[in-house]
Order: sequence, then C-alpha cells, then structure tokens
Amino acid sequence: MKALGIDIGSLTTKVVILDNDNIVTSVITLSSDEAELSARAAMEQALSQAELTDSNNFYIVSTGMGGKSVPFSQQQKAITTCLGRGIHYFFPSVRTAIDMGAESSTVIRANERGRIVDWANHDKCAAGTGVFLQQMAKLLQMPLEEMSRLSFQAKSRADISGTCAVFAESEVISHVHRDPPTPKDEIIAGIYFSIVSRIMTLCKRIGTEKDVAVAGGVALNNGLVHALEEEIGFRVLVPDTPQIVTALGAALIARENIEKGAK
Amino acid sequence: MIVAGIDIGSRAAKAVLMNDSSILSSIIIDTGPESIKTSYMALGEVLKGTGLSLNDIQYTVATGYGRVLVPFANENISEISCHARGINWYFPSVRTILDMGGQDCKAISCDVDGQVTNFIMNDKCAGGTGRFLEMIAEVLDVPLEEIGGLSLESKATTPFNTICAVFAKSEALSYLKKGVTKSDILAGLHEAIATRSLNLLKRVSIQKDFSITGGIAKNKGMVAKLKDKVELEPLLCEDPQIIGALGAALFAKERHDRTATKGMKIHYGYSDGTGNYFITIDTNSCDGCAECMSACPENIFIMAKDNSGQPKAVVKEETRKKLALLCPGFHSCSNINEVNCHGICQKGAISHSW
Repeated sequence: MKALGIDIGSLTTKVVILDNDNIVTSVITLSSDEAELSARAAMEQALSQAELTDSNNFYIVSTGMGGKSVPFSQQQKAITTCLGRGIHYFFPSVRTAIDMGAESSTVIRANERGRIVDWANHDKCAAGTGVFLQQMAKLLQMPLEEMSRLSFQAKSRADISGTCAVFAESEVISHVHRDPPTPKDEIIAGIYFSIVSRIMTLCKRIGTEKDVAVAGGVALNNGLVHALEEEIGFRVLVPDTPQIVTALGAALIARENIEKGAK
Repeated sequence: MIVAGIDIGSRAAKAVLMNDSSILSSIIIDTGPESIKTSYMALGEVLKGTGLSLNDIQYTVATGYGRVLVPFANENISEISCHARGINWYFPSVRTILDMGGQDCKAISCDVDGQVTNFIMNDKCAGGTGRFLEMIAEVLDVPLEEIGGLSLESKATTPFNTICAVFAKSEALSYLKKGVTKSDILAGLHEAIATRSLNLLKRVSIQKDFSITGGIAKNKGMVAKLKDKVELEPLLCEDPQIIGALGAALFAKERHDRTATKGMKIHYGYSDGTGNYFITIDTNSCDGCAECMSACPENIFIMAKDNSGQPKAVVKEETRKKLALLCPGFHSCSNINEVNCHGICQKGAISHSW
C-alpha cells in the first residue's frame, strides 16, 4: 500500500505519492470549480506519471481548501497539520513555517517532530496573498519572475497600503501615473513590503522561532522571500518545490496511518 | 445670501449652491486625478445656469477626501459632520445614518440638531463599498445602475461567504460558470454588503429614524436588503448622493452668519469719573441705511464696511475720545432736536448709555 497526499488549494491542486520515505512522484495542476474533479484529475495524472495503475491500493489523505470534498480519501486533515509535517520532512530544524498560498497565508509554529504548537492564518481577504501578487503583476504588465528580478534593484520603496488589494491597486496606478512616475522597482518593493507586513502580523501573533521556512507558490518568488528575510531579520529556508509541502505532509500522515494499521 | 458646499469624494465630486435656506442648484461629477481641477470643475458646473459667479458666493465649505485641496474654500469640515447636518435638514427625526460611498462606508449617530454623537467607518477595505459594486457590475457585465433592480428579481439568493472584493469577484465568476443566474448572484452580494453594513450600524447603535446617504443609496436592491436587515424603513431624500455637499453648504451658511454677527453690539466711547459715555451700535440690526449720518447734528456717524463687506454705522474715530462733549446724550438731544439718531433709525440699532 502506498501513501498519497492531495492538497486542493484555491488555485492549484497538488498530489504527492510516497514510497516509504521517498517521493515517488508529485503533480501540480490547476484547480477547477469542483474540488472532486480537481482531485481526480490530479490523481490520475500522478498515477500515470508514476506508471501505477491500481488506484485502490492507496491510503489517501486530503487537505486544503477543498480537502473535505474528496469522497475517496480515507482521511481529511487540516492544512496546518500537513504543513508542519511536510516542512519537517524537508528541514527538521524548522520551528516556524510560513505558507503563502494563492488566497490565504498561514503561519505555524512546530516542535522538533513537526507537530503544531501554535498557528495563525489569514484567509478573509486578498491583501497579502498570491492573488494580490498576481493582480499586481498583471497591472504592471510584467511576469512575476521579472518583478522578482527588478525588486533587487530598488533603492527605496513606494508607499502602498497592505490593507486592501482593491485600494492597493489604485495606489499602484497613481504611482505609475505620477509626474515623474515612481520607478517600477520601487513600486514592486512597495508591493512586496505590503505583502510581507501582512505576513509579519501573523508571525507576531504567534511568535517566530528559528529556523524559519516558507512554503506555498508565493515562496518561489525570490524577491518576496528576500523582502521577508529583511523584515524577519534572518535567512529563511525555501524547499525546492515549496508548493507541494502541504500535499507531502498529507502523504506523510497517510504513511503513518498505513504503518499504524499494519501493527 | 449665497453659500456653497463642495464634497470631493473618492469617486464623485458633489457641489450644492444655497440661497439662504433653499437649494439653488446641485451637481455630481466624476472625481478626476487632480483634486484641485475637479473642485473648479464642480464649482463651474454648479454655477452654470444660475447667473452667479464665484464672487457672489459668500462662504464655501469643502468636505470629503479631497477637502484640503479645494483652493477657494473658506473652511473644510469632515464629511461625517456634513452628512449628519445634511440629513438633518431633510429629516430632523433621523438619528442613524448609513453613508455608503465610493471607497468607504460609515455608520453615523446624530442628535436632534444634526450633531454627530458617534460614528464608525470602514475605509480600510473595499468590501461593502461602491467600488465593490462597480467591480461586480463589470464582472457580470451589467450596467451599474441596473444591478440593484436585477438583484430584486432573484428567487434564490446565492450565499457568499466572503467580504473581500477580490474573492467575491472570483466566487461570482465561478457561480456564473455553474449557471447561477445573475440576479441570484447579485442578490447574494447585496445581502453580503447589507450584513456588513448592519455590523457597522450595530456598533453605533441603531435608533429611529434611519436614513441612507451616498451613491449606493440610489441602488434599490441595496436599500431593500438594508431595510430587511435593519428592520427599519429608511427615509430617503431625492438625491442621497449630495447630502455631504448639502451639509457643507449648511455649515457655510452657519459659519457666515456667525462671522457676520461677531461683535453683535459694538460700544464706542469711554467711561470717566463723571459717568459712562457709550454709543452702542447693534451691527446685527444695522442695515447701513446711513440715515443716522444726516440726523446727528454733530455728525459723529460714518458708514464703514464690516468683515463681510456690509456697510454699517460706526462712530467716527476722532470723536470717540470726546463723545460726551459732542453728544449731549439721548434724553437731552431728543428734547432739543426733533430729529435724532434713535428716532430716525428704523431698526433701533443705536442706543446711548447716557
């Protein structure tokens, strides 16, 4: 029996298949409106990628926003639990993990076994999330990679409010149309800072403890991670594939359950 | 007396021109990127057709987000005070106001005089503001003016579990894809905003009567939802969007009256060991007719302009120090002369202390 973790996020669905301690395969696909369809499609892709056929021979743990709507999973787990477990797999020294997702941010504090001590999350509004970042990239008409690269050149940062994505958008527009226009790198630095300040309020709520790691799609943005490091005051660890951390955590829980069942 | 109120909001600029206690004209224009230009445009529009010019306006009060940038305003007052004052002019019984603007939402409590007693505002987040409705209208491809009416046609309100405008937009899109009708989606969004506004209102406590101001008050669907939530029939004026500017104009009138009546009674003269020798002129009643100038045998009066440019009777400066020597006092004067300043003054604005 193999362990399989599914994380159904608001933007992407992630699947990780584990064989003992090794990641056999991992898949990242776009979520559709129906959580169940997203889960099935992602799972099928993962199975064919791993050249496995027998879909019944799995212990499945689902998590994420749509985790509850996966009828074929044996267990549903909270994002925080999976995040703690997943980040522990990559970096056992991590005590604080920050998950920067498309529509939510979650910060957890975990112990040396990857179990949750405390957590805080923010999913009520788009400010400080991946959607916000994407919206800004669209507004500035540049890819996220380009934004990240430019942000390192900024000498100062534009003042952009971190409280509402809609209002921040008009602030960016007025920076662009200012005479003389605010340099793009400074606007980007301002955008990054507004996201980071939102995450920092979560961090302050539960307290940060070294080491700190980031997960979620937004963690792929080097410029943003750098801005976060400047605020936190020390380096943060980034896994190779930060998007799959939570799905991996779900798979790890699935494996534990298999072992428990075997005993 | 002509006064103006100008309300530079985040999305629209409003101006109201008043003559004493009646509205001469009112306009609503879009707020441009430059507040100063917008304020001149609003002023130009409101004066159009009245035959008046900027110089005819005796006092201007500016309000709204851009109020500090109105170059011709005599004063600026917060929009919260202005809304309370404006609604009080229409409905003195109103105690609770919900002002739903382009980029913010305020719940205001006021007293019988239209004075603000408490308020709560949300200007940090686009949820529940006009901006939110604009975004939704755009996503659903329905003109902004029609969304309220359309929401009323709904048979099953779609529940929205979000207050964020960005998330609501994507949620609305996914409902649309699933085939939910636009009216049901709109009903759900209006419901979400109404719930949010109710929470604001609860924090200032809801008292009878209740009124809604701001641009969103023109949205029938929103008003209907709010009526259900608040459980009070809202009193609505013909144009709820201009209430802020109207309040500003009412403040302008009050402030102008106050300056005009400043030092309502002016005493000219002196007191020495023999007694008090003062001629008192009530500038509030003096209409500057100049009759007293010719009536006084000693010619001690002159006309001078006061702070607001109105002619008023004044005792000549050079006579003030020796007033008792020139003027025999009212009783003696009226015995000697048939025509005297007291008798000639229609308004009874002049009095003597001796």
